[in-house]
Amino acid sequence: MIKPATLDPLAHWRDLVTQVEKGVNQFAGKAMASDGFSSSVNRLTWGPLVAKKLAADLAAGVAQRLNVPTRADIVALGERLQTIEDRLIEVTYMLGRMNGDAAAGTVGAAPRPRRTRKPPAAKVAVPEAKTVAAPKRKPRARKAPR
Amino acid sequence: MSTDTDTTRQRIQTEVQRALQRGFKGIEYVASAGPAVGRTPRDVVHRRGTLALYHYRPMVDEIYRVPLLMVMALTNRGYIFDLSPGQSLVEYLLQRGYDVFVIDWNPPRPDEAGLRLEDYTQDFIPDCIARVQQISGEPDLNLVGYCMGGLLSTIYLALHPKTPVRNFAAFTTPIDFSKMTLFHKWADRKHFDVDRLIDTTGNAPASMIFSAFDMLRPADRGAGLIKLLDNLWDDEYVKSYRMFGRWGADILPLPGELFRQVTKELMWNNSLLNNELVIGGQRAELGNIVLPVLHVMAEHDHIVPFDAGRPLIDNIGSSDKEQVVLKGGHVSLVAGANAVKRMWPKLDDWLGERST
Repeated sequence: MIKPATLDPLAHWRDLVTQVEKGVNQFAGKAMASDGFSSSVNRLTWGPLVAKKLAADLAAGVAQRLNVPTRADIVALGERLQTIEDRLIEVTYMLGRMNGDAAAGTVGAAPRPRRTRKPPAAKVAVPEAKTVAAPKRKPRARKAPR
Repeated sequence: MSTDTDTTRQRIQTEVQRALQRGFKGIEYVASAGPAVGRTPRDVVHRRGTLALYHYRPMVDEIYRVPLLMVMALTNRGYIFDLSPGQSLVEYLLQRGYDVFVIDWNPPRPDEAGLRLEDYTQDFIPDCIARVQQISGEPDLNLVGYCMGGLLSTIYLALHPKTPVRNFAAFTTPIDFSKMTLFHKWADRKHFDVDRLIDTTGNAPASMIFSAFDMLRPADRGAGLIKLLDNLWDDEYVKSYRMFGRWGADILPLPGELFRQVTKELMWNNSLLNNELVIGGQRAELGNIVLPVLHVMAEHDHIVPFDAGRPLIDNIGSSDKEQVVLKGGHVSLVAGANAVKRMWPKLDDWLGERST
């Protein structure tokens, strides 16, 4: 039986949005695959990146003349702090583990889970899964290392 | 006749209620912060610059013997594996009895602009594997990689035939870069001077990477906003929109040298597919991978199309290998309502029997 078309204007509006979205994406996908687009987008990306770099260099020069730390100095300081923090994280974790290990077996200590789990006997059916068989391979000729 | 009238009246009532709710919820949306993500309890086991290794706390008393190490893509944050309770792959795996570790990435610092594929595949991943072995006390482990995390894992496995990794599950992992459609076109050496870019910027800027992802589907953002307005009355929809929106915008810069290497070796020369990729003087041959492999791909993946990922299973040397194509897109494959009922059970099914 043919389903009657809905008279709900909101449902039409939602369909329209989805269709426009698909249409624009399809059209843009084709347009953006052209050489002209690739060339233009690379040129357009390049401008702001260079401007940003120039601005950063200029700001660093000014900071140096004023004898104040530059962004690079602050970033370097942050990196040193981060390295210390990284080591602290490791030490904290190791101490925690050592403490846990020492406490294992004592009253009140949380035991580690047993590593004895077995998979359930019944397999799960996955809806809408397609297993794609790999085609048989022809042996590929080896090329000399570069 | 009266039934039609009742239905119409009911419909109008519903729409009026929703319109009112849209108003209230709209104010709430603007005034509130987004939902919290990545809240499953974990320990930061190791951190070294851009690299972070997490160990999630077990949720059951009995777990599988073989621990699981997941490798996140370099361009995005690892909380896509752990969005919120009920929508967290990590939480799901913990509840199913896995001992879960995740390699996540912090934004590379300026002094890490020199990191290359060598660092990731011959240092970071092996280092994390050794730590997982040490912490778990087990000699072997299973590896899972998503997108570029899958690519790094694949290169690692191709370089290390004697790896302690027992099984490998890849999600949407690109191998044939000539099939990466628009990315391949935009990175064409005729127009794209990667040397000039990286020599100028150091690391590849996050804004540039975000724009590249965004341009793949230029109508999505506008249409997404219209759909959000339409669904503002629906708390679950809004929560999901905010979580995915936040994650999608949370793009990381890439280390400059790695970006240069990926562009030249993979985008331009397709070296991995051609078995010509040389890492640290050693050739990464896909045929070296002989362990059991599962590759899960998405039917509507606009970032890693099926043809770009298919050669993984075609070219590895494993006899136990499986490629599965599930409905969904690049992100909805691993997170969200569809992943819960499609990919997660498949992964559990495949990994469970290989984790004892």
